Amino acid sequence: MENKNKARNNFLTIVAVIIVIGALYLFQNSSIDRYYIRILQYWGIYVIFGASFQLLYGYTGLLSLGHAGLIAVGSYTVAILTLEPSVKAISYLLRPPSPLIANVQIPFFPALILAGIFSAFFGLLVATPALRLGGDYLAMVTLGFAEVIRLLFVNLPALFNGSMGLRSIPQSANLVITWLIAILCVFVLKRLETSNYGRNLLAINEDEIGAEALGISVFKYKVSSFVISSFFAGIGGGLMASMLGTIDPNTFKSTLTNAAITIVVLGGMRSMTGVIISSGIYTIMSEYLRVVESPIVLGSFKFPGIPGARVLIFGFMLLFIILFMRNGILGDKEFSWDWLFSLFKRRDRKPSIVETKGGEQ
Amino acid sequence: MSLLDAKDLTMRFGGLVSVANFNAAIEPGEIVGLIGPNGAGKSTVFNMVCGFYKPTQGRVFFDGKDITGMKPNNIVEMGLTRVFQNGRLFKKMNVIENMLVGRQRHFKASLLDSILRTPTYQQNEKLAYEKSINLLEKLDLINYIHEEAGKLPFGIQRKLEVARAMSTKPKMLLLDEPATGLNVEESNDMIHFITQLRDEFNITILLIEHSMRVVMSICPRIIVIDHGETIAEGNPDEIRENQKVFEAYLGVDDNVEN
Amino acid sequence: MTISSFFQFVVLGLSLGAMYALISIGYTIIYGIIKLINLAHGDFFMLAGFTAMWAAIAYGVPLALALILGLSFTIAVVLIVNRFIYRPLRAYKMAAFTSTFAVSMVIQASVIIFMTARAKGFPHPAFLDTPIKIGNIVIPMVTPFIIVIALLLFAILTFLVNNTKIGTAMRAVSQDMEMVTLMGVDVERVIAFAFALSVAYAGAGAILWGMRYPAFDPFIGVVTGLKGFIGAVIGGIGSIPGAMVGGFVLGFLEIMLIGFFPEYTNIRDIFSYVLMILFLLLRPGGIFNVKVREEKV
Ligand SMILES: Nc1ncnc2c1ncn2[C@@H]1O[C@H](COP(=O)(O)OP(=O)(O)OP(=O)(O)O)[C@@H](O)[C@H]1O
Ligand SMILES: [Mg+2]
Repeated sequence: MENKNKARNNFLTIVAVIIVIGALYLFQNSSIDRYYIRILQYWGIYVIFGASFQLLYGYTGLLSLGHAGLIAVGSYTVAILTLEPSVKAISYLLRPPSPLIANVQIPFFPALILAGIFSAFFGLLVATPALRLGGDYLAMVTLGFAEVIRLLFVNLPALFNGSMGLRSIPQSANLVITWLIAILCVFVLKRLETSNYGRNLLAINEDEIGAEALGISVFKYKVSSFVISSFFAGIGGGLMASMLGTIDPNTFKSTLTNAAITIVVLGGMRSMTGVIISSGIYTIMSEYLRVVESPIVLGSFKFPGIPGARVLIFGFMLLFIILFMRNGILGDKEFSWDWLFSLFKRRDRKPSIVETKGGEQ
Repeated sequence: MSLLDAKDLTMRFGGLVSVANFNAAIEPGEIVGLIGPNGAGKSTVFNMVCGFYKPTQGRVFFDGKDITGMKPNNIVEMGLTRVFQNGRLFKKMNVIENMLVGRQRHFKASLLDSILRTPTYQQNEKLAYEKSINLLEKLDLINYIHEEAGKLPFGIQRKLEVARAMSTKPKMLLLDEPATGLNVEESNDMIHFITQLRDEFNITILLIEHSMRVVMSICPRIIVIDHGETIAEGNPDEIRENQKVFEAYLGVDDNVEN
Repeated sequence: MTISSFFQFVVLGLSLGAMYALISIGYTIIYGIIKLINLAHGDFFMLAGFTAMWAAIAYGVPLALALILGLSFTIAVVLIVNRFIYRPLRAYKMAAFTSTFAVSMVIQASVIIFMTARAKGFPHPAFLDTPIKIGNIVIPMVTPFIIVIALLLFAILTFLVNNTKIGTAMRAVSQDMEMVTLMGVDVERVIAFAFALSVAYAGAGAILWGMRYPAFDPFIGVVTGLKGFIGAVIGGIGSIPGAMVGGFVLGFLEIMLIGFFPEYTNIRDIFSYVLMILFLLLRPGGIFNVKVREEKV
């Protein structure tokens, strides 16, 4: 369907992106507490985790519990490829760094692309056996992958420095770069979702047999959507390694998988606007709920802190959304300029902000 | 050479023989009816032909090639598309989207094309829309183009499902009880619809139907199966007078004219 | 390796396998009936063991009573979860599936909050520590004890499934849900029973596990749950005898790996995972070659 306002809308989108990035740039260079910058940067990274998970979960209709593992692959790739050889030589304490990696150092951006590619490769390795029998086993097989990948990090010290992890990773990804890449990822994924590719994924989600009977290779679509999702998880992981500067196998616990699931379920299965909003909510919640988990001392009164409280709250939140607001915040509705303008006009005609429909839920 | 050639197709589920030694040779341009009482094994024949079940025995040839054991989607690639008995529309998608999914096999744009919205992608998408709209117009469904498939009247849903199968551009269609559950008016409409497919697209059809009225008025040749066995084959008059067919349908007489 | 130490490993392998099998059974039963992998299954395993341990240690409840308490509490929890979460979501496959994951999060977190995050020593009767000497090998009493109890439980399960009314109903539901509904069987009751059964067996596994490996922590359900799943895949998901055999095979192979290649002890989880992948690729129906039923289309 042709939209008469297409040129105007594209222009507005570009202006909006420039304004946001400009604001982030000013923010980054202001004297504001680094803590807030870190939170904003986390938000951008969670947007990528959520957006990549959405393709798989909201479109194809597959549940993976391996996002943390794929993110880990991306993180370690960027860390190892960008670490200076001299730093590697000092920090690999358990074993000297393997000659494979000892003298490698490449710039951040190629390393980030490679992070995506490696994650995609592992995604392919995992998805192919898991999806041969449909999608039911995928969750457990990917959960296993996330565990196994951490064991590999611990047990191959010459490559990954074991449980000591990697330190002094060059922090090339600042706030602006993170968000630029996040916006790019969202853009690419949304384009995929709104193309014939996404349409076919939704068809598979609604009725696999029906789709197959129209000539769609269900297996190929499932595997490819898993691989694409893995690629972007790897990119997000690479950005995260670069932000943190320090990673170890315990950085990639199931919390990251929980985050991806919660973000998509909360925001809306097929809405990128929803993902952006709910990543913000998730980032802020998990940051402020940290307080609940750590002991607080108020004068002579000592509040012990409740470890595990965050997981409990997120778990209940997830259950609540699944049971009582199955479409999340936005369902499949996407922000659009036409919708925004219609708010200011007289209420003559409200364009629908619905883009695509279909699939379960 | 026959377009579809089923040789000795047999399907066993555990001890149950659903279909035994089914044979059929269907020439290009033919419309053949496949009838039989409930549970006779008609749908099972379709499932074996289209790759949803792997036949216990026998082979299927389509367009001169052995397609036995091929995957359903590859069989569609060869030009053989089926419509399900119980309806498998993408109910939450709208009519045009349903049609576009059917067009997928003619889509020649890569993922990169669709991310960049290259001219190739745009041409493909435009062509897909045009062809789908064209088909919907010809088949008199154009008024529903933006409606959600699951919310359409039942008769229209059945038609849409046939139209969607047509958008794969098949050489041959397998229709599984397209008129079941339709009232007389709707089912007349369906008869007209199928005849129209034959006349306008010159397509070969194998049609399963419960309603004798529908089959007799469309199909010059009819195959009857009962308990998995082929019990008769011939033109409508021959079938009407066949004693075995009469017996098979006896007791389920009320089904004959539903 | 000598013959006698080989024999020792066989016994150890079988006892580990017995515990895996007790977990595998739950996946197979539930998947067989409602085509759902219960992602919280490993956490129900943990909950049963942890509750029993917590009752015994924190409140000094006598051991036998504590075990019964742990099992019945966990069964009650799974019934409530099934009634108020899984059941309303039965028609929405993805939502139901995701909810099992959310339940897993909630159980883990609740145990950490209301019990404790730290591993505690699982209490067990002293006689289990008695060493048994056969020739020149020594095994603790607890290993044959586990094998015997597990075999007993398997015998009971086999009887239950094949010779009781509810067992027959369970098999019927897994064959053809629609048909059974038409015949007037209360499918929801059968499903509830299946959940109770799956958790009871996992819970028994947890108790035996605790007696063998006393360090029992709230995250233990993740990896052991995964092992149970791998066992079910090896045997062939959907087959109850398959789950038993698959669990045994997995435990046996793991111990053999450690026995023959002690240097690989750390990566035995990777070994099991690779084993599962190989099965999925080469023999997706498992040892029992469970046919994925041709879906009626
Ligand atoms: N996947 C399957 N597993 C087991 N039995 C099956 C399967 N598919 C079909 N059957 C059995 O095969 C027999 C024939 O079924 P089929 O669906 O082919 O009949 P039909 O002629 O299409 O009947 P109807 O007119 O009711 O559609 C039935 O007894 C049915 O139960
Ligand atoms: Mg039929």
